[in-house]
Amino acid sequence: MLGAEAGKQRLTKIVPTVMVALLLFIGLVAVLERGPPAVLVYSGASPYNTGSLGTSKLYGIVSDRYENTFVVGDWGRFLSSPIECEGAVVVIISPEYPYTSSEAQAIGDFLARCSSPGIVVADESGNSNAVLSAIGVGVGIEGGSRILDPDTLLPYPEALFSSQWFSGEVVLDIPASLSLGFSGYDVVGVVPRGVIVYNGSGNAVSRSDIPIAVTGSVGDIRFLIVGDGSIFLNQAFDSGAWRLIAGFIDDVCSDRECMVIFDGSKFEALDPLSYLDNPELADPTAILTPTFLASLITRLVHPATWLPPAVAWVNDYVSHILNVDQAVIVIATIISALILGSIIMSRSPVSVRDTRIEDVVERDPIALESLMRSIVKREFKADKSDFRRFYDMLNQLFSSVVGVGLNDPRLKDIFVSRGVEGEKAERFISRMNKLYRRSMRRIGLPLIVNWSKELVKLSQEAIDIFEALGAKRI
Amino acid sequence: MSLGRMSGDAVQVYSTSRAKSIIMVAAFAVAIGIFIDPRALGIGLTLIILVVAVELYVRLAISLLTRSAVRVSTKVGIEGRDSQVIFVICNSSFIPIAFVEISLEYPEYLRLVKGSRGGITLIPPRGCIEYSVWFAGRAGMHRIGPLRVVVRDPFGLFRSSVFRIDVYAYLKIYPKIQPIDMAGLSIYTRSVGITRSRKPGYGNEFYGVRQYREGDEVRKIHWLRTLKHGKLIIKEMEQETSLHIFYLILASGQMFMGPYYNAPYEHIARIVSSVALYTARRGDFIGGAVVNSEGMRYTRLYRGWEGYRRIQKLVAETLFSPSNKALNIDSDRVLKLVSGILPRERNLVMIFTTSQGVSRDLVINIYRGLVSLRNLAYVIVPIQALYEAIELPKWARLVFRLKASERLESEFKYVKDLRSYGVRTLALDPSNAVSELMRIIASTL
Repeated sequence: MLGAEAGKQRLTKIVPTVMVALLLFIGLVAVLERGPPAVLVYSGASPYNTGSLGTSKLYGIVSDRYENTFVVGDWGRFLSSPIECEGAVVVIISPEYPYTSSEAQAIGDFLARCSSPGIVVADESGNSNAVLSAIGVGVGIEGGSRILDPDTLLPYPEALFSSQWFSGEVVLDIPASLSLGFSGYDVVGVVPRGVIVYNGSGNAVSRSDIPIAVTGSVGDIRFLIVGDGSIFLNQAFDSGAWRLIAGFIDDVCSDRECMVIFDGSKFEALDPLSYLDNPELADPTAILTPTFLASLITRLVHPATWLPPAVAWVNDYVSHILNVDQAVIVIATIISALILGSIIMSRSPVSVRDTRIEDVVERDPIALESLMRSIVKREFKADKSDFRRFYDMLNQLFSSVVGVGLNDPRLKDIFVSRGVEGEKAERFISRMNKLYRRSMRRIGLPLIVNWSKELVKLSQEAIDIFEALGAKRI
Repeated sequence: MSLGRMSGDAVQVYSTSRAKSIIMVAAFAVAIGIFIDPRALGIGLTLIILVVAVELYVRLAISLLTRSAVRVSTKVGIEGRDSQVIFVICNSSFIPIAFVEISLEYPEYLRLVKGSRGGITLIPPRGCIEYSVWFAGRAGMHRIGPLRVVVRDPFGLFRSSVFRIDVYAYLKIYPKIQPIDMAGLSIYTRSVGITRSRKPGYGNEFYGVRQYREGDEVRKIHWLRTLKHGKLIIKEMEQETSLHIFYLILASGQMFMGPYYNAPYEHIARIVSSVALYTARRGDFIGGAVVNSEGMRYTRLYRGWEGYRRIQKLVAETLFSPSNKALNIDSDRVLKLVSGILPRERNLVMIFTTSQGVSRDLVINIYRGLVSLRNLAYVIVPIQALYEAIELPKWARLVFRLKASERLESEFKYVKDLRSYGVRTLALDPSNAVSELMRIIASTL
């Protein structure tokens, strides 16, 4: 192999290390100034929660079917923007806080604007009752009640759903009973056998066929109300109960343009670090989600999280050390540290600069490489003897191609007859002959000649002429 | 596929500047812990334990890596296409090997077109990693490898010395076949006067006509005669008799020097393969030998496709080794080899050589020896400097010819000298197509 040394890669330091360190420091301060990234983790039945207690799967399925599916985090802001709707369905699942009357009224007003509106409420807390009242549905969630399994007296009774959208048995999770104040509804889900208990009263009523899901309409607004939101959570996805909501939406919406709004305003959005600060908030199912872990790592590695405490700690510690009265102790500490450090280092392996392995540098093995490079870069040196040889070479080539040499007066006419521009031919021939005479010292002008430059220029012109003559190989 | 092993050199472990810093911080923490605040002692000791632990880990990782199995595989490539080389390193232990920096050594004249020259990887426990690279195929055989390796701990406190995994891939690249002017070749072979058979068969010369038989090629139907006689008549061609053709490549290191795809050896490989393909179809006996600094490799005369296959293999398995090394071999050895292969009749021997690094006397002796055995021989000499200039712009080629005139003159003088000794010699330049070369040969007869 040629030039083993030439094949080694040489790295040239362009930016000094101090400059790199300074830039890094500036970058670090800039990142710190911008503050930590706003990565939030949602709790409860939020459509943003990808954990087992979230409703992200249901949201995903609906958004695949209807492109205008979104989550509303602030009803006030949502309604302040101009919205045109034909078909629209609002989905409320297990809100964690009660709706204010103004929020409830706003939802009701929004639905009233649409020509084909619908609402789904799946709630066991009664937090959504204000919304139901605002739209005039005579059905409410008895948030203070719980339906228990009559055999185990645990709040996990079995419910039987029977509707065009979903039929089957589903185990409920702490459901609430419905208060049915009017008769314009169809029952689509019942608890065949159950015991209803009311908080505070201690009353327990054993009943059969307790309605748990009803559907109907009030004016133009169609509704689906379920006394348990947990059957639509990600963890209960396999039960298939999500089809109840999906089917209802399909029924209300006539096309893919239909607007489906998941309520996300009544859920806690927390900084991932707050879960670590308050372990009681930590929902193990939430912590195990990739979203949570990714957001936690992002938050932890951000300088805004660790740099201020680290600087404060170092500051405190250095202050503490400097406050030690006895200077002797400080000096002893430094000397001891240096001795200890050098002892440890003398026992550790020899230190080297940690550089990466040099890569192979590809190059074509060419004997006349430097000459070729100098020609391409036009850095080669030429003198009059080179020009004389150049002249002889071209003279020979033209003689073989057109039958006459460069000093033949017929050459220009031959060139022109073969398609070469007259002026160009004239200039080339006269320049060649003039410089040839100059190289032979037959004439004294031009006084100064850059032979290399002339060679390049005349070579290019010669190639143009050969091409015009149709000479394929030169 | 071949299995590699680590180089025998002892692998050293070095600390880095990062380790130094950590050790000093640890030493200060310990000193502060002793004299000022005992809480710092824990931090100092933890750091010291960390440093010791990672050093041990690096030593362990080196030991595991040196016991790992390394496999390499290649596929036969075609000139101009991308050829893949795959290295597989397997960690048979239950401990991950992190981090391993790998750098591939390969000939600098080869162009890596896909994949990386190296990188940092982690070899999982009881798992393997695959490292693939693709090269633009140049005719000949290329040695890829070894892998150079450095092991580091995850914190970069310690590193090993650079050591080699002695695993090599031999990438064999078959030359591309150039289109050939059959008629031109036929003229040549017939002009030699040893290919006429006076029998119908495969060939280019008209022999006669006969009635169509089942299985005859439709394109050979003679329509005029068919119309005249009212039955299908086909043309018959004269079967060309078999030639014994031997390709002898006397390759100095210079033959492999030149731009990508345009080194003289690559051009010669294309010529030899293309002519061999044509002669294989005619059923000729084909053989060849490559004489280079590695020694002599040859294939005996085989008829038709077998001969072509063996010639292709011979050319593809010649180690591509550009250097300034001259070919140093005794002409008698070469003659003995070739004359041992060729039958005692008139054979055609094409000798390819370069003016650089192959002595004139060697070529003359071989030529004379072959001719004295009634063979017809040609010496074909690529003009090296013209190959080197092929990628230059046209105007620059003119200047190059001027500035490299000394070199060109010496190369042409080599050709002239050979001719002056009665050697049938052709100067080859990179623009010569196969058919053109054949026409030149025919014109010299």
